[in-house]
Amino acid sequence: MKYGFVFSKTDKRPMYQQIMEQIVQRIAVGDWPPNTPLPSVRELAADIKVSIITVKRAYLELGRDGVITTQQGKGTWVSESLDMKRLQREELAEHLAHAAKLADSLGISEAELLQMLKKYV
Amino acid sequence: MDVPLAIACRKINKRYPHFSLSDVDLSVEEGTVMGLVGPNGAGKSTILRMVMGLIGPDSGSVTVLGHRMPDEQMAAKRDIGFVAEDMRLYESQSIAFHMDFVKSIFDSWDDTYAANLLRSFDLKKEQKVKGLSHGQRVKATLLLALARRPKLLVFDEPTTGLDPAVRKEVIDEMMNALESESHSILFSSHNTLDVEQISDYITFIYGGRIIESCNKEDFMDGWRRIRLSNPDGKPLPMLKNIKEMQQHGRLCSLTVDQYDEGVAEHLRQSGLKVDAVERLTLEEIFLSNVHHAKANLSKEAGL
Amino acid sequence: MSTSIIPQLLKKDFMLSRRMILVFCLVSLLGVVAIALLFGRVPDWALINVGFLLLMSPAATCGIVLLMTTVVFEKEKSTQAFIMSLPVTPRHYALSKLLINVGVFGVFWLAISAIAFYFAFGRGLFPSGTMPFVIMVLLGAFVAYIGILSVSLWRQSLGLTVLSIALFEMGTSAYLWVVAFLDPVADFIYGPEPVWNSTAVGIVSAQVLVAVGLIAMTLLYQSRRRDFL
Repeated sequence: MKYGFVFSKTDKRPMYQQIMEQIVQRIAVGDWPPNTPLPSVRELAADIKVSIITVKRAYLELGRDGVITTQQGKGTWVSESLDMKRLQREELAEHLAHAAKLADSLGISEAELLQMLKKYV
Repeated sequence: MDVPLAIACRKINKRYPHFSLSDVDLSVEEGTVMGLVGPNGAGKSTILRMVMGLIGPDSGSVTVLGHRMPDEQMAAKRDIGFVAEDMRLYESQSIAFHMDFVKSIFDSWDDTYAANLLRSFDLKKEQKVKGLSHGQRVKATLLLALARRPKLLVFDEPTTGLDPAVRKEVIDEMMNALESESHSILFSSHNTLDVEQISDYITFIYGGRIIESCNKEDFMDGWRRIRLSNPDGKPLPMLKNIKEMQQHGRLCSLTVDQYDEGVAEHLRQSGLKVDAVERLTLEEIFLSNVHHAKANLSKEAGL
Repeated sequence: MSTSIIPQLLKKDFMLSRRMILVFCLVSLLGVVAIALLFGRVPDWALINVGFLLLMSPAATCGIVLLMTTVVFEKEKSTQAFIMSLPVTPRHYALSKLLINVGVFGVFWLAISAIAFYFAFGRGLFPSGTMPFVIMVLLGAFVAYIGILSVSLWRQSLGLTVLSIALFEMGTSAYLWVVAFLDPVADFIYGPEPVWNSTAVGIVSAQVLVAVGLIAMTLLYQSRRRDFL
């Protein structure tokens, strides 16, 4: 396994999200600094033994988030001006939005929700 | 954007005394992996044999790598590697005998690759076939198909009956074969985990008919199990993408396909409480499809 | 048009069967040696019967066993699926089986015919008038073999092949008895000169035509076959 990706079979999240996470981790930790070229979709798929379409999806989503940049004919690389903190903030905002929705459907009031949040801070 | 098709089956019909294939359409784009899923007797093996030119359809056309089958099977089979459950090697002979035999037929045989495969598969070429275990036989047959680097791999249940270690070896080598952009794989399997992992496209077949055929990610994305509470006993909206419904008292579980946020909204607006929206594994989708298809067939038969 | 792989198929079948063929060659050789030794030492009628047996049995057995292993068992043991996954058509497959079986049996048959002729007419065991009939007997064996081979290639079924062996064996014997007693043949059998009247020529020609016809039919059937498995 050339790229050392580790996947959990019990992880309920779809595979493409796990791949995204693995790539983001490498970037966050500093193993893949900005401008590092990413393996081609086909190469990565063959390495981690996952369908090409799944890897394509992961790359697509990461491209949309601005984490990686792809150019026809030039390949894919880690985005130059990458603001990890911004990305992580955006991810947190997503989680909070989801929590708010869930609270709403469970009929939990705003005050109660804030109380619950305090427990984890 | 027109990707060339490695395999194009159009409106295939084939009638047998106890079974028939009806209106089967199947396309495999070059460079992709197509997983064929379905219960035993659904027609997977028949389709694969038609792709190999070993069976001719009653009507419809089969074109593989640009060749019409079964008429041009000789030219097509030069570039196809086929492994099936009911295929056997010569018991009294060694793996080396088979390797030499296949090598004498194919210019594309790659000695280095073959040697690597022997190593990865932990096989010794002097071994006689009759002394091999089931897993080793499958690997040997696979080696013979892979070492000639065919453009298309057609596998009928490649991992059935294999222990987890051998299964992984087989899947790994199948994926390695895809490093070239023009190489494609069509395989049938009961093992939904394998199909889920490596397929780019999935086709469901049941009772000789294609139930679904699409891109794996879109497909998996589209199915959800929605768990609902219905405290006020409101009637459930009859959405057409509900594939299965289970109700126990005030709790309800729906399996839907073609899911989007609107579905959950619709349910909420009908006065139901959405407790959870869960993704499904391919196995669960498979079971749901079979259940649904069976129900449909019963309806059609007027039962 | 892709090149056919018939040479490789023939080589493969030969490699798989060569030990068996060798054994039968040795047995046949022993048979010939036995006949040579017995010549002159036992009554002619005894030599003819024993000789016929010693010559025909190994050849016939070898032919049948080879046919079984290359055609019938290949289907039963599912190695045929392996072969059909290679670049080969049903017609080429059948042709390769015809070539190897008729080839090996043919060699045995020619050798037997030559030896039979040598002892029968070269050494004077039979009056020369028997020549047409001897030829009919030898051709009869060949036609029977082609018949059994054709049936086995048609369905590759063990049961059907065994049945055809029984039928062709009985049929050929019965047919030869009938021929032997046909006036145009019987009248000249003990004569000093071979007489090729229209009946004799007709019968021999018919045998050759049947053999050729069976082979042609087999190949035609295989070319049109759309369902191989």
